[in-house]
Amino acid sequence: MQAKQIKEKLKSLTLQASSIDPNLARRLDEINRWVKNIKPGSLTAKPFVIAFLLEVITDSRIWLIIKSLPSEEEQKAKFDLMTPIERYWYSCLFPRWINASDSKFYIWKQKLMSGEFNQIDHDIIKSIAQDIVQREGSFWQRYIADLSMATDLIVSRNNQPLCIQITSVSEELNQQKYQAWQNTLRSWEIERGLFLSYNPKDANYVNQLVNVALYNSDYLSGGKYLKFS
Amino acid sequence: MVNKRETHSCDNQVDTFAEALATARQMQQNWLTYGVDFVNVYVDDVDGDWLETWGHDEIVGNSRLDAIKEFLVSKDSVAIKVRQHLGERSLFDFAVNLEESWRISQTNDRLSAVINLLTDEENSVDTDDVKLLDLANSLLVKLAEIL
Repeated sequence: MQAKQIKEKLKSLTLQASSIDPNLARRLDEINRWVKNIKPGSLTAKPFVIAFLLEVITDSRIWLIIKSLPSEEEQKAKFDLMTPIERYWYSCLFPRWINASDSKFYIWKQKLMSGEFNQIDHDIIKSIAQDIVQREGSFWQRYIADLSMATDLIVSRNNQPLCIQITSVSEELNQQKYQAWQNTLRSWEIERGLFLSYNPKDANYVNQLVNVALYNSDYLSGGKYLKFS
Repeated sequence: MVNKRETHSCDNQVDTFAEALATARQMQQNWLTYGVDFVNVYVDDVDGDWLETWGHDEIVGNSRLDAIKEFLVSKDSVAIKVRQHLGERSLFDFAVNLEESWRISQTNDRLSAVINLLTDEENSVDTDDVKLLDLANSLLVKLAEIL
């Protein structure tokens, strides 16, 4: 499709949402307004904005189908067709995002434009996801989770989703970042989280990060926010 | 006959849902393979001027928007109340969004949209719902007069 068709899809979903879930309609409207006001400052920004929009459209569509079902039983039947990690996203985190007053929403523009989506980090996150899949774990990646919920990936091996954030060990503000991460997770009522620092000089770091992530997805207790470096 | 139709509609729903979920899964798979470049699988002109021209169809040559802007800066008592209510928020953005809301055909949906526009998320605790509803209603009555 052509990129301008994304806008049409967004608008038609906003209209649809206005009768099914007004909070989602408001969110989508905010997004439309936000994109309208973006002054592209970086050549790399456009793919990320499109990726974000495609995800929002896909997730909103799923949400509206479920939300328009008349009974809780029917809605539950749809969630039962999902994998545990998808169910966690669509029945917990995504609706929380729809209904929350997301203070970070307003700094997304700067984040997206200022290249905070570092291509190197992005490639590392992708490598970790690939490794997780090879080891029969599963993952869910969402730009909403990244921008609002300080979550690069949601991972799971035995049906217990865990939110993880991955960061380079060389960052001077690591401790501050860890604290902010923890606060963000608490504010979204995310029960368990893992903050992973890596050292790019270590040749085996992807393998190590995946070991820690998968182990903790099985064993980390609720209410725990673990830092691993 | 009725049963048949219901079954059919239920099947459609399952199909729509299954298709939407399959789309989401495929998108994850494409992200896993291509990273952010997965967008090229779905969109032909990622690097085109879509971002620069995103709002153009709504802003350029839109006489309804002009009428709304003119009203919002006027001495009309409702316009004054709206300006006071918005405080430091952008009147232009509000006008653009109000014009969009005006396109909603269902009266109740349109009212909800205008209430949403007037709601200030950052100060939502202080929002008086009754006052907001009154203001949204008066604004829609005024718009019906001028548009």
